[in-house]
Amino acid sequence: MNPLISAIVTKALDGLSLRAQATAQNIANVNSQNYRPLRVSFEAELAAAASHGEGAVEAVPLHVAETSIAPRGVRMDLELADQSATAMRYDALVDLLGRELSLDHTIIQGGQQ
Amino acid sequence: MKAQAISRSALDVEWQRLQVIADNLANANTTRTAEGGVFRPMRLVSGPTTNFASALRAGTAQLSGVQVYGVEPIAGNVRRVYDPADPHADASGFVTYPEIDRAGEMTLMIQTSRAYEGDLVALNLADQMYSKALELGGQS
Repeated sequence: MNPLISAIVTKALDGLSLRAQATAQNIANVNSQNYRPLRVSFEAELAAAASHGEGAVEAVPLHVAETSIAPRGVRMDLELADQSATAMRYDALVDLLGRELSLDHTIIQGGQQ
Repeated sequence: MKAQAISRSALDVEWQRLQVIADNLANANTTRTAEGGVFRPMRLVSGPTTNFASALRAGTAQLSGVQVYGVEPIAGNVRRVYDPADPHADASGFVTYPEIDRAGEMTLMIQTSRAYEGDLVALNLADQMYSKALELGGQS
């Protein structure tokens, strides 16, 4: 497997997993007063690091930050939409990683049928 | 803290909030509590979990779930009804009932129920992600 692709996919999985936690936290605090929703950002930095090799990709930080403007509470519908999108992208990436692994498996078994 | 644990903490909090609301509605006609006074409607106060461990770790500290801060009585009046025959009537013949904002309680109940549903959806999505991750490395 191309180590760069592996690093990118693994980092993206980490980021999406963290975002799932942040969204769960936002939904959990839908009835909390003065709560500021959390946001996870990593995509822009990951895209920039992708052209600088494996080490740069692994060094991409995952940011969890409170939204700076005080919103009128948590928008449950938007949070659930984010959560759903996160889960689907996570599924897609796991699928991709699984396919890469099964290619490796085929290569290792080559000629031993 | 993982996504499932966060959603689980929220389910617990919303469930307890529902119990407090149910208790308020159930006691709308209570004239005297076991302690002797008039029943006070209560309100559950909740917010993000804060503990020693999460205060030390500033980075991911905010992903700590939700917790009950306390159950506080709401400020409110009492309703006095003239009924000298009632065994709980005072010396002047008045019975004291709590003044319960039924519409407010019902609104909060719907809000709580929606929050609970949302937490369940989030929990299911987290389950879906974890079970997908478990498929990694399986031979298809």
